[in-house]
Amino acid sequence: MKLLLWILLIPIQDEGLLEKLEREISAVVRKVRPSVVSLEIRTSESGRTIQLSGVVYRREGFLLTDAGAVSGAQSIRVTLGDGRTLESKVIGADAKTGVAVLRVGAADLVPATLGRSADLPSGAFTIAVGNSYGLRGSSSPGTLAGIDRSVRVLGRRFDRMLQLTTPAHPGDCGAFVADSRGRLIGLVHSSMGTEEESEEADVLRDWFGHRSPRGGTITFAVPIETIQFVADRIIKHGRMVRGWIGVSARTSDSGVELLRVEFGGPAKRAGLARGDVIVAWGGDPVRDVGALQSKVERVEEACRVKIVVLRESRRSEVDLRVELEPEGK
Amino acid sequence: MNCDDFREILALYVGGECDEDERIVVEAHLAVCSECSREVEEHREARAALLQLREESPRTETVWKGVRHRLFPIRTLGTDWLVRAAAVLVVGVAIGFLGVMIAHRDPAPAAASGARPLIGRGAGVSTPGNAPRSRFVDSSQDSEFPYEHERRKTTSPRRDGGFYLPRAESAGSGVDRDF
Repeated sequence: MKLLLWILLIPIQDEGLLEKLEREISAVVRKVRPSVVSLEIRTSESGRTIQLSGVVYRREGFLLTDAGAVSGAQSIRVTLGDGRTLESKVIGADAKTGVAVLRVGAADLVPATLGRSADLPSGAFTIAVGNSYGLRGSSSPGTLAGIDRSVRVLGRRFDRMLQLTTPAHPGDCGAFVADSRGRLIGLVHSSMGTEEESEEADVLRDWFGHRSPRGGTITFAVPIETIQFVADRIIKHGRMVRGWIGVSARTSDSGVELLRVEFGGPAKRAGLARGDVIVAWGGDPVRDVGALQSKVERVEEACRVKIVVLRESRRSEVDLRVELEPEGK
Repeated sequence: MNCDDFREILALYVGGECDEDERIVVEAHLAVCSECSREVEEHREARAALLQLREESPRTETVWKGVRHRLFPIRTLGTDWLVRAAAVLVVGVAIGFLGVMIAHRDPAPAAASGARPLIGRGAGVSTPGNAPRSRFVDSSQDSEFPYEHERRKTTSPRRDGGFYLPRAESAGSGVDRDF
């Protein structure tokens, strides 16, 4: 009898679950939308306009968007979530991470609640809210498909990116990527997938009847940890400021191995060479290239640090001067 | 930096492959270091010798002409012009056929692809500016990502009007970092 009752209740239970899911997604979109802005950028090179998305970072007028889009901008018009339209100026843009900070003359904005992408498990729900093809507040749910991706866009490499199944369309660059509680975990950066199919490929398909497999698109987003680090530095200094030693490195069994040492850079001047392995930094052991990169980049003023280097099984202490990364690097 | 560091790039310096910053640093060092200056002179002499060697080599077309004459004696124009005319005709017909095919394509796929460039034109949504035309970019030279899933052909990024979303040319689990 109980089994029969349970079977009869299944459709009702399922419907309730879906409705609950709908309500949850709807609530997240409602929470996020006031913090999403639409940007219209007039470029100085052609005088034409491009449209994309942005997010309110701080109540007193600071906005986040994509750095590539604002380079060479002549004017930037921002439409806020409440419909107001304001002129904006670029405070700073970091080409290395793709994060730009803008400011508008308003102090009553609704800032995004910040989350943490590092805490999310693979498969976590994500919802992007942006301006697909100029349609303001467009939302698309998906999941977190991967973290720590390296992506090449416009010939430049971007590290530590989030990979999402959440669809993104032209106009969504800079869109708000929310977790299941509506907290900002990333900014839409770029996408890869079937939408890249060209007219030429379509011609071949029409002629020869050949249909290539067409998968879904992948969306990449700048993680909130990177956004927060870069945006706070730009707001504090008026430009991006980070430490730099001029190396390319990777994690190895014993520490961090140098793959390349830049000519004339701080590491080269300190005597470091390709193949050296950094095993300690400022007295702390070094095990992961990401952690070492964070330590270096968090430097705000040039300073000296003692490191321990392994070269051909011999350990030696090196006095390394960490400098600020040259602008335009 | 010591002489060993400079020796790594002296050959590049002589070959004009250094960037401006490196060139200035190297020239400043050469002004005070006779040993490296001597090494630069040796690089220059070796380079000049190589260039001379290349100039004195027999020109390949001259060599080929002699060989060709022996292997394939010159034929008179007897039937040669017929073959050439036929080849021109075939190529002409092929180009014409392709032109007709393109002109009579079903417009639907073109419209669909028009909605897909990096900066797209939305169906039913007003679009400022012209739609950019796609072109192929070969990113096969990219070797930074060891576990790379790479798209060899991708649309070129342009920002001359429309809605912005750059395309990722390649992606992977990058194990190396620059800092």
